[in-house]
Amino acid sequence: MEVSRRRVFQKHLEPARPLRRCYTIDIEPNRNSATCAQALMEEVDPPKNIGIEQFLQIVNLQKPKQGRISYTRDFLIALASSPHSREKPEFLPEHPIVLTEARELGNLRLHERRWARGKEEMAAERLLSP
Amino acid sequence: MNNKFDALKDDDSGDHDQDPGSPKDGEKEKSEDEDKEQNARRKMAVPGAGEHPLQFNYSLWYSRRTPGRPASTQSYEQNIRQIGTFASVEQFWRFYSHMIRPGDLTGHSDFHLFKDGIKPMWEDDANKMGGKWIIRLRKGLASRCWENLILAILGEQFMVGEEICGAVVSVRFQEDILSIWNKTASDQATTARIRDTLRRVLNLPPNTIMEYKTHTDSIKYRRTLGPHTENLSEGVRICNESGGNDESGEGYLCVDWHCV
Repeated sequence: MEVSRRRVFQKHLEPARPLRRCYTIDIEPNRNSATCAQALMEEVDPPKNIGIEQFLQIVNLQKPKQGRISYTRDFLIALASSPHSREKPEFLPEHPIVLTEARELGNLRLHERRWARGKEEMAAERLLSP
Repeated sequence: MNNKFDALKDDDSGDHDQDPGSPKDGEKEKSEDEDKEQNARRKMAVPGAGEHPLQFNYSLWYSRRTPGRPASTQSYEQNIRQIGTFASVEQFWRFYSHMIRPGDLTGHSDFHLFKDGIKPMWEDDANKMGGKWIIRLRKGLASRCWENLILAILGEQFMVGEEICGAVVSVRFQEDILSIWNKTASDQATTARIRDTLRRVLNLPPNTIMEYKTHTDSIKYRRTLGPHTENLSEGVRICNESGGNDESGEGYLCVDWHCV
């Protein structure tokens, strides 16, 4: 009776194997029933003792999936002129397309204005057309 | 645990980098080292204090076909170069402001913006079931359109979950081509949403014709043209021309703006 119950236990625990990696328990296939029971206890016990830090880690893993970090074009462009955005990156390969100094991004705003005007024109055209 | 997984993934994709035409051990090791170096840099990309984090980390790549050389003999390493990886808006601007704009590029060259960990090649796991929307631009529009496209990607304006893989601007002789790559070509709801968002963020006139092409189709099309297709570096070379020559001739359409 005892033996058969233990077997059921082991079977149930089989799919949970990857957990072992987290707690670095070396379980040799040992037929000794005493060590087997001990191993089972070791395996089952740790998950109950998850500390707050571990819990937060698990929560943080899920974080990127909740709530998207989104920015509008205008917001991104507003950040382009901050001194922080103009610094030279630490790792910048030498390459013909790579500039030694940050180029002026003033044209961004110029385009924006043209863009807006174009939009108005388009809207106007749409209004005029029957 | 995560790191271990990443390392395995990197090793896998690193195999694609190898040019089967040059199996010298020394070279192989060298390129592996370079790969590791790049990975190390990539892992360092975290938002700095007070910076605005991005939803995903991205890498900027540049590729150019050397004039006068048959493209098939060129390896991935010669053709494509990773410029940098960034995790915040400020880090993006730092790289972007230190690179020339696509409109100022000459010759047969491309800028690629891809999510960190996705290589700008069809064979990458994230791309192999995917496809791309293609927009042909007449000369003079590439810089502004590229800017608007990548700002929309970085700002998560497409609202298609994790489907976006990256974008390419291809500077060619008589036209420039924009393309945006997504993971699942068969997901029509996603591709339609990407198309509609593209129209909006690029302010495309309603009659603009946009073409969707699956990467498997692109590969098939190439297979009928060239004998080098079993060669992985050839696959990469094709990828460098993404949205390039392979489309020229058929259904050519130029986007024209009212506001230019």
